[in-house]
Amino acid sequence: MSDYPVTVTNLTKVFYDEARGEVRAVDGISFECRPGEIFGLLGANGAGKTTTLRLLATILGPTSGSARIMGYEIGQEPEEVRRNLGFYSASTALYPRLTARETLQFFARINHYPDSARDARVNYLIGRFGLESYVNARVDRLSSGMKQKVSIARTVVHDPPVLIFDEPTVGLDVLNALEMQQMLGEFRNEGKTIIFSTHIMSEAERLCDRIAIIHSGKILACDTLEELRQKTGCRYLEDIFIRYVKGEGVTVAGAG
Amino acid sequence: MSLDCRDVATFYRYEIRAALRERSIVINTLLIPIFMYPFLLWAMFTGITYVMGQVEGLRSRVVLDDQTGQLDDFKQRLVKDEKCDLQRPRTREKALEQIKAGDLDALIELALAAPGPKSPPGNFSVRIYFDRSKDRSEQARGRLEEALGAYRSQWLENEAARLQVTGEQWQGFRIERKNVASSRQMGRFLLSTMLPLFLVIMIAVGCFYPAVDSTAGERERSTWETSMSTAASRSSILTAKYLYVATLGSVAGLINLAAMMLSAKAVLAPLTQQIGEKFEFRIPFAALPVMALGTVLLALFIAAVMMLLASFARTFREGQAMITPFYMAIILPVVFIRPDGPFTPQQALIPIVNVTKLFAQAINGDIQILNTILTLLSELACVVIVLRFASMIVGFEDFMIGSYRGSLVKFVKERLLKRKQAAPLGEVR
Repeated sequence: MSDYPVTVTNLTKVFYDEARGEVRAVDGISFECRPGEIFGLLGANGAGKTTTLRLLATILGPTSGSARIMGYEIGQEPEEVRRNLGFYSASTALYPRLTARETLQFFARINHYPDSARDARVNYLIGRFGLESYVNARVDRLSSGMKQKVSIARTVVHDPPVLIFDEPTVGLDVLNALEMQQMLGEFRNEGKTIIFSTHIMSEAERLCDRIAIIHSGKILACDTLEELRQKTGCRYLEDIFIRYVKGEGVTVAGAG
Repeated sequence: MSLDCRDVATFYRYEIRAALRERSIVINTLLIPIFMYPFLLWAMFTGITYVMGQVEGLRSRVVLDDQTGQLDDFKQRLVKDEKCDLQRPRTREKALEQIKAGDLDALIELALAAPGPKSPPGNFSVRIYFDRSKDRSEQARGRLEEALGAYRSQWLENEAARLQVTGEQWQGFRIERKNVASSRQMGRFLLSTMLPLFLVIMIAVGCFYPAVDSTAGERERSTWETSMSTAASRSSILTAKYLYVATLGSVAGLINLAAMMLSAKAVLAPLTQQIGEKFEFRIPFAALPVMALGTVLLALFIAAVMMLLASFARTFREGQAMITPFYMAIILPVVFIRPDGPFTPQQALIPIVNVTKLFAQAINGDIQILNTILTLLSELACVVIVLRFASMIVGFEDFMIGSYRGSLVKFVKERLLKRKQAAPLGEVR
């Protein structure tokens, strides 16, 4: 068994679409994520990023292949996988009728964070994310910036070793996006393994320790930014990305 | 799929807490059962009584055409009747025109009866012209018939005296009505007519909003995937949601039952006064556990079906549209059930009908053990069937994540009957 927190092997997801027929949204991808790194999935819209992350979060089941989160196989032990995972995406909104505090309490409890430490953990996150002034307000009455903080706090409230952020800065203003990036950096420094999907090149450049370029469900390249530069001879990630997507890359990487 | 009681309890508490903060759920599940139906009934009966009283207070405008020339005493009766405004004679055509226009209420024509050997002296025929489509005209007809009846009784008494016979001998037979039902039985009859209907409606209303809110509502708010990404198993989440919907349905039914029992006397007072009978509104103590059991059983069944239907919707409005036909379908049979009819074992096997009959029988103090057991088994069997069916559907991933577009009927046709699956799917957990 691999020691990596996340191991993905030949993961495939096939959908049936009435209009398009069989669609291979994820097509035999493989990669690993190391402890304390931000692993970026970089791809255009419809490349398969979200499907990959939803497979890892066990929201979808794989058609074939496998993936392990902290040693738990996604198809065999989905509850254990989710217990070791924090999943953040635009499609995982907060419950509008709970207060911020109730939200954190709920997610700590449902993700089986130890009862004895739950209150302390919730209070710690309230302080860390600066939620004090609106912690007892209903979520549907919070501003989008406040909701974003509560949402991140609920993602990490059970202190999972692996975090998945699916395009977390989409729809955020510049300041909130910067704050989000800052938090991701902090989580990395705490030793969390972060899988982060984006189509924004500058974000990937700034944040990711390693980047996987995904296109049409396949990983075209997977390496550090420096290695990708050396392989392609391009300085900017945007140029590197275009070279791979257009099939001009030097090496086709299978695994990182 | 594994079921974790702790997770079920956590999700259940969350659902209940969230529901109690949602205005439409609180109104439909708690406030309407307590206030709305008792108030609506009271308003309806009071309104009917008021309208009837208003018509009663109006004088009937009547024209008398005495073609016999011998019935002046009857005319004097009408003149003296304070509720009759006897107007000057006019032609039949003119009178009929005025009746149709609402300017006159009735025309009464008195004509000599055709003479015959056995015809009593002074016999005459009566024809009343009125407009049944007008309350006031119908009222005038009633008053004229009442006046004629009194005149006939007087005439019969006079004839009996002239012939030296008693009234009974002269009339041949007399009908006397005697209601042998006690006031308690009358009260139970009225309650068994109304309470089962309201209970079924209230349980359905109690389940309606929570069922849509916890399925389609979650999808609309993008919180469905949030729930699915927690460490709780799918079965734990769905069980919690189901129990939550069934709880609110049961609560709505039980609250309504209590509210109706406490307010029945006041609510039904206008109606009972109109009927002129004495009513005692008391439900036998032994009926309460049976009715509570029936309420819970019905809530479990309705909650299961409503959740199944609403879970195919992507928005709250779609969910409402998908549930409404079922809502109507469960109320219809209840409307046509006779509360005093027999409760057969066959009826005890039909969902909804069995619980309705069980309620009616319990209110009437007639608790039949066999039918109660059959009802229990039948409802539980229906719940199990619906839940088994639901768990089969949950195995389809596109349904579970909300990407399937279509209703339950379409899904059954496409996936279960034709065996055409959307994607090679594993069991979703």
